Amino acid sequence: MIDVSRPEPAVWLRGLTKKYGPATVVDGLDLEIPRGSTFGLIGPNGAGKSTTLKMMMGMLSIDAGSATVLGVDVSADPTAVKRRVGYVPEIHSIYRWMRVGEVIGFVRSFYPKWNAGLCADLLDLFELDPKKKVKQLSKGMLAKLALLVAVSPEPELLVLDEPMSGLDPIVREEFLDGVLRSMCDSERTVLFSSHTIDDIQRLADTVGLLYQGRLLVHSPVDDLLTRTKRIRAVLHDGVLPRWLPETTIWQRVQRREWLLTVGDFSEDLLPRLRGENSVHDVEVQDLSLEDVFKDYVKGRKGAA
Amino acid sequence: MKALLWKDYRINRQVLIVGFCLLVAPYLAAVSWIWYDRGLTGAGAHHWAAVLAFAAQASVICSQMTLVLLAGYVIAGERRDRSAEFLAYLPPSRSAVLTSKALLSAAVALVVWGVFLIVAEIVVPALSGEAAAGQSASFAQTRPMLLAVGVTLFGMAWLGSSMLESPTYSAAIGVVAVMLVPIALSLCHTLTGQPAHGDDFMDWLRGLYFALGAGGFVAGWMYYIRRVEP
Repeated sequence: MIDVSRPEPAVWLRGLTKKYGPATVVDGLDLEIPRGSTFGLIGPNGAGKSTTLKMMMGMLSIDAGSATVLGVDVSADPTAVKRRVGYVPEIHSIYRWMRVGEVIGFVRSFYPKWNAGLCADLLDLFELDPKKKVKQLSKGMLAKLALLVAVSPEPELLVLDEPMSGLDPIVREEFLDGVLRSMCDSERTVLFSSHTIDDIQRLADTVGLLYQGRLLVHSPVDDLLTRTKRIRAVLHDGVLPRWLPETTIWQRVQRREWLLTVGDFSEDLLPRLRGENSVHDVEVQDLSLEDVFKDYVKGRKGAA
Repeated sequence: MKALLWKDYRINRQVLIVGFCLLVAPYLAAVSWIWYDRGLTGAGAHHWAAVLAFAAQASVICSQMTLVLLAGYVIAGERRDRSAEFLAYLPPSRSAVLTSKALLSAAVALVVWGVFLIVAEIVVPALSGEAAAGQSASFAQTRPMLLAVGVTLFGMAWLGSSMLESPTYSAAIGVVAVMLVPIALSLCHTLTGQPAHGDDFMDWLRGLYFALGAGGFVAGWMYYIRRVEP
């Protein structure tokens, strides 16, 4: 249950499940994203990121569980959700026969609010010609148009599924530091998925790691990076590790080098690690978000 | 709704152009035939009336194809080119999306039958007086059946369109339904002796066509509204 003393979360998923035949793509996902936060969803291909976002947007049926977005049950009233949420899908399917200006006019007609100034600024920034037909746009230009129409109604929640894919490095930089940063700094809630962990690290205040439809990590980025450390130790000749910390995410033994990544790291862990295992030269390393992500995935794959 | 109507008109423009051609082609053929046969000024009013009555009948028969094509394309067409996914994350409700498509279809049906009725009921009698009355009366008898066939073609293609990704298969469902109903009714007659041949059989056929078409339309509507995926 939600604590009534706290404001309603922007996104509240409870046991969200999606199956395609025998395959469970999203498996009992529980997730709460507070209002005003910037949440980055990361995960390898096929982790269920896009499926989760589509269920949240009322574009895919939910097999079990529920999704509440901005206080509205998506299954009960998807239209109310769509009015208040801007969404950029991974694959853009905007009407190819429309001109850019027609797309803007068409989308604009459905929203109660539209920031014409922002729309004009983005048209300039993205160098989109209103007279050009959608079918003449490159993949990158199409992504820009999709972003423009998602952002211009000034939605309370912005859901971006791989928003930067297809953008060239310069526009990507401008978009990240200009448009998205201003969105993230405002009161607005932003939820975006990305393969590019650098984008997540730059913008997100909280991160979720999805793997095989399950949420492995849900933590503030800084907290995650502070808590997760890699320990490098050298094993004595002919011995193998005997004791592993409970919070071990991933480990590898190669010759005498023992690498292990642990969550909830504290300095107290090291004396026990030394005491229980025949090791020397124990060293603690900081990790980037990308390393954390990789180690979680490798750890899961290893466990499987 | 205006934006949705404009979008539906633009998406189905090719079908509408084909439909326009099917609507006017019999009239053009009639005018050409008179021109060729007697010259435009040489033909008398009675002659014009007879040819126009025939053209009107042919036009409304040809235009059944427009309605079945439109029903097949109007929903499934957007699913096929994936543009339905774009609309799916925009705010319009599914009933608004469907209402726009139904309004466009209704407008087309209105034009088809409106042109037919104006020509058959106003123009032809005005030109012919009593002379073409017999022909008009015989054509008039076929109107309920034509309407019933049109309803089935449209309703069943609409049902297919709401469920499938292929406009062609959706339209084919309408055509197949129109062919299957008399076959099923004949089979029923062979096995049970009912309905009897003649008027009774035709009444049953018309009734079944109307019921099937209306049922298909309602079922398609309900299915689309309840469906979550675009």
